[in-house]
Amino acid sequence: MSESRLDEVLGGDADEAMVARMWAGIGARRAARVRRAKTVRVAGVLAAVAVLVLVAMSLRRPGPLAARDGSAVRAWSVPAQAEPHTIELDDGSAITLASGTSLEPVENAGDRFCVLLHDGSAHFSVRPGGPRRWIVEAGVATVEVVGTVFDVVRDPSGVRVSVERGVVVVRGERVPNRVRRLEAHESMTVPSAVAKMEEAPPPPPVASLVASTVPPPTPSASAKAPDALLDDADRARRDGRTQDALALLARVAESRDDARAALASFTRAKLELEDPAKLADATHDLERAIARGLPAPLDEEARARLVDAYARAGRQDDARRAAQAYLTAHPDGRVAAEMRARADAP
Amino acid sequence: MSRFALAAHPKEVVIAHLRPAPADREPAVVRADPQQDADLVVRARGGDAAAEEALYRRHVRAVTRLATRVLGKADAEDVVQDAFVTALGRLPSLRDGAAFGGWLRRIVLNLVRARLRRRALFVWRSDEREGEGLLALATPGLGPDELAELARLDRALAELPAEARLAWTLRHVEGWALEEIADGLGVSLATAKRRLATADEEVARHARGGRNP
Repeated sequence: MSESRLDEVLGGDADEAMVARMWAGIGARRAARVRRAKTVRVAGVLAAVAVLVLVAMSLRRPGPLAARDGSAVRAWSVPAQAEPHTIELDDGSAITLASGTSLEPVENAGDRFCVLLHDGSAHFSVRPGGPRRWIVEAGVATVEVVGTVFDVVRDPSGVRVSVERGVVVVRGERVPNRVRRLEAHESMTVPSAVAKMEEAPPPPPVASLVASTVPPPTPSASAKAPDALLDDADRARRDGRTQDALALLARVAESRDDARAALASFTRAKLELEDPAKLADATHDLERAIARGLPAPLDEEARARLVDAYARAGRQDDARRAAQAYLTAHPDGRVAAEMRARADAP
Repeated sequence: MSRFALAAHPKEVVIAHLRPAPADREPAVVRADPQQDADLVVRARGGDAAAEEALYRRHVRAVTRLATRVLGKADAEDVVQDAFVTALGRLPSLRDGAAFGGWLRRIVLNLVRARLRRRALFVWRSDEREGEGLLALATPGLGPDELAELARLDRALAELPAEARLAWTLRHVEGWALEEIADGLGVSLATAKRRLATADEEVARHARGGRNP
């Protein structure tokens, strides 16, 4: 089909009825804008007075955060076999705790809300523009936010922070330069003291008494802990070295550390999904990530991406099965309606 | 002059290879007379409602076709209305009334891209969304071969990032020159070329049955 033929066979032209209808719609929208502008001007006088009142009120600190139902915030603990639990707060923020997670508020003084993540994985969705600074204490790392969406996973090997939207600041003695800013789609891992000790290279061999000397072993890249490899992969991705990032993530994905291997597989899949030629690799990595176990919010996203990847690859039966699996795992998930449509598609 | 090199296969008709257009080709889209636009802009700025409507009618069909072929019918009308509300509201800032057409196209493209970015926030991108894609715009009476070609194009375009898909549509459906694409999208000529090359490669790959050479 030639380009001129392509232009001929495609519609998209507006007939007179559509042209007239759109002009009427344009007029209505412009009139609405004018009305809004007038309303703003009239309200300006009242606002000037109101500002004085608001300034006086703003000098007072905001009250403590409460649950949406009005109850006081308290410690939360989700048992290991239980479903994830979401806590909705009265400022519109929400915290989702994965199975086996324990979270305790330690400060709720109005302009600061500080929680301690004892163990497990928590997904935070902090309303932007709020009056409070949120702080998540997680042992070796402290995460500070003002309006953002992020995950914190804490286990004996350390703390991993992943940012979905917004910006967080991570502080800690084991954070490089003791502070690091993470933006959307960035993540970092802060190893615990135990993990740091396990990372230490083996001592060099005792020098031989024979004349020939044995050179001390040089540190090998393969001896790096999964967390360090994940951080290297993040740097490579930010620098645009996608292939390097994929290679580093592949090594973590093969490790015996299920949690980090799952995260690595998931991150690989997201990079691979950007390249149509790597669709098959992406589906494989998503399947591996789900099988090895992701925190609940990432599991939901991974399952939804897997449905999309199958559909794009033309594997409609697999897409339907994956959509059904999503609904089983996350019946009230964010995209459950779309998944139902996909699962029911012929 | 055809901008496609059609490689006819004995068994099926495919778009096998896309060659760049010759440098001296005429634009496929007939644009409104800039001087008339300049006169209408002056009058519209002075509050002449008839001049505003005249400006609208001179350009609405072209931008509607553009928006529909990229977004589909469902979103196109909304985007076109928003574009004209924006353009008519910002007329005082348009220094050269004769450039109204290109300026309006840039507004439309910005809104189109915003709409495409919003769609990309949904996790999946199906090439079978109702009302979207070239196949959904096919005029009645097309034969099965041509319908199959449109479907193949849709599958190829669905694999592309939104910016590359947009560049392909502007070039091969709307007939824009590379310079026009770069200006409309607000990018360098090199970036426009790169996006188009990405799109052309994907379309060609689909034409080869999904196989890489």
